[in-house]
Amino acid sequence: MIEVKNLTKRYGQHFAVNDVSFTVSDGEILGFLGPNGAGKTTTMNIITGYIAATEGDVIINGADIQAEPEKAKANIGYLPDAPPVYGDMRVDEYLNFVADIKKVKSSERARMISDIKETVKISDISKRLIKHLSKGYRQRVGLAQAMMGYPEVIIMDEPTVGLDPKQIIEMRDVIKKLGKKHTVILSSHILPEVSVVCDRVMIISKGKIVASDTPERLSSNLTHGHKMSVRAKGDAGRIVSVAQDYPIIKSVKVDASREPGTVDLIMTGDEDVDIREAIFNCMAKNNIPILQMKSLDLTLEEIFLQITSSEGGGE
Amino acid sequence: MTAIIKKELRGYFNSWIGYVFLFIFVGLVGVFFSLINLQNQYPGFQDSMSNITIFYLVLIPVLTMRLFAEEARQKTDQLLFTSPVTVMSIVVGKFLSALCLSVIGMAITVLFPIIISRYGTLPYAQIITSYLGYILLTACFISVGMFISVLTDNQIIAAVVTFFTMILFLILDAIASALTSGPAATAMGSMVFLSVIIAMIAFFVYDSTKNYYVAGISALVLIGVATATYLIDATLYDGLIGKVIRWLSIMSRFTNFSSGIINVSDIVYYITFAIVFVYFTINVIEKRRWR
Repeated sequence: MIEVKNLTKRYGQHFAVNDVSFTVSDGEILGFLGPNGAGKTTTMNIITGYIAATEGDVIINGADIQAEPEKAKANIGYLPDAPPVYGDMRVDEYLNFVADIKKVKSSERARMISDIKETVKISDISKRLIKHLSKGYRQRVGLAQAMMGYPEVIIMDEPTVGLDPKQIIEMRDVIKKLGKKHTVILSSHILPEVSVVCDRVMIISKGKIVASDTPERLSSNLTHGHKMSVRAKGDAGRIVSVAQDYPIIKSVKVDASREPGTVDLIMTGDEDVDIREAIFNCMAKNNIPILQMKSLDLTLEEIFLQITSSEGGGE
Repeated sequence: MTAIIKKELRGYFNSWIGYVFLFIFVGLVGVFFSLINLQNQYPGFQDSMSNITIFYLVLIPVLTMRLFAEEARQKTDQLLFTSPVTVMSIVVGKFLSALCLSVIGMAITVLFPIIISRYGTLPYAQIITSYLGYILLTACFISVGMFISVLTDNQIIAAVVTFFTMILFLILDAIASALTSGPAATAMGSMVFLSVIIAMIAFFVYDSTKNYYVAGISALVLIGVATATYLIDATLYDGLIGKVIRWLSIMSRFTNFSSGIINVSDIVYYITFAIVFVYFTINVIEKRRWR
């Protein structure tokens, strides 16, 4: 259980984190979503006790991170954006050192290390020097570090950045597995990523929480199907004129022609109006085959614009 | 703390640094041992050892440059400072590990006096006090080097700054004698010097307490004491700068040890010196985290 109350971090006149409060209950996977510089890393660094807040409290399982740092830190495992690994150590050596400073009992150590290595799939590289490992393996060693001592809370800063697609999927599986036993906070600037693994998403912008909800509700609030990308077969001029004459479709723009004989168009309707059926009906009536149609994923910036303008700055 | 010591010592020997340090240190003592002791059939091993201090210019930076700078560069400090261990045990652990490596070096050089003892009479007392002096001197230098290492995330910068600081320590005696005469030695010059020191103390008090009143009051009290002393007996201030610098000089105290003299004030001085810089190091880290 993590309680964050009125957290503020100020550098001079600049607010990196501005009056942020939230709680994370046991076993929850919470995702911080936000562009670079939104304050995600700063918030995580404060929760883990790496840097101090200018104002506000962080309480982890009843222990205040400032008043009782050792007690609070004993409940946290942290994987920062760069995995904190020593290049000139071997994987086993490193994990033993981590077990040492995390005060793992020597009777449990050997089993814990081998279990964790099994979970993050690094058993086969135990004897390798960390500096010779690829980014993906280093990230896993970093994650093994965060899991050492089985802390109740595991905090991960952009855990999938720099991994290849297969590793990203594996990393997500590991995170989901962790969520069964631990409270997890992770950050990302990619919307689909957090929506896959998180129970709850908090969107942070300019140091403030602008939205906090389940991923499903967030995205259903945000994608209305009012802006579609359509690939249709036929002459661009004719398609545009036909579409423009159709009542519900408000604007049509030619995007590009990516396949010979076809044209890609962006069609927009009024906000809150689903134009998918309209597009289908319009094209079908004029005998224009639709080869592909997809809702345009809102970029994070657009989500921010929407949330901040419609909810007046959120909480 | 033992976890940190173990990790640091292993770090020294996982990289080339530990071996290079031991090789150079033992090698240099060996060179002076053969030049001074073997060539001249002279048993005074402490004289060979005292020639090593000049090489501390290079040896100490090698030992201390990576202590914190490398952690900051690799971002592994995030692991250390988010672990359930106190900053003090991290700093003291690192300090002890560097000291431990240099003591290992010294332990190897014990072979040389043992060789001498087979063929002649050793000046035991001087050699033992020399070793004691060496350990204390190294502790002081390591604490300074460690403090410099915590200020940067670049090993090279840490090494270069430590190198020049070492030079400063080595020439402090010369500076002191230059300042015991001339305009700097007058009472007025000393007053200026004192005010600078008081300003520094006041700043330090403010820095640790974050309280303007405490800092201001302590500065006023010190100025009052200084002025009063000046009014009562101005001659006390003659050559004060030289006296203070000489008192600060690490090296001049070391000569006592190599001549076989154990002076309690010297030992206390060295230990205090090392503790002060260890404390500074802890403070730098704590402040970075709690502001």
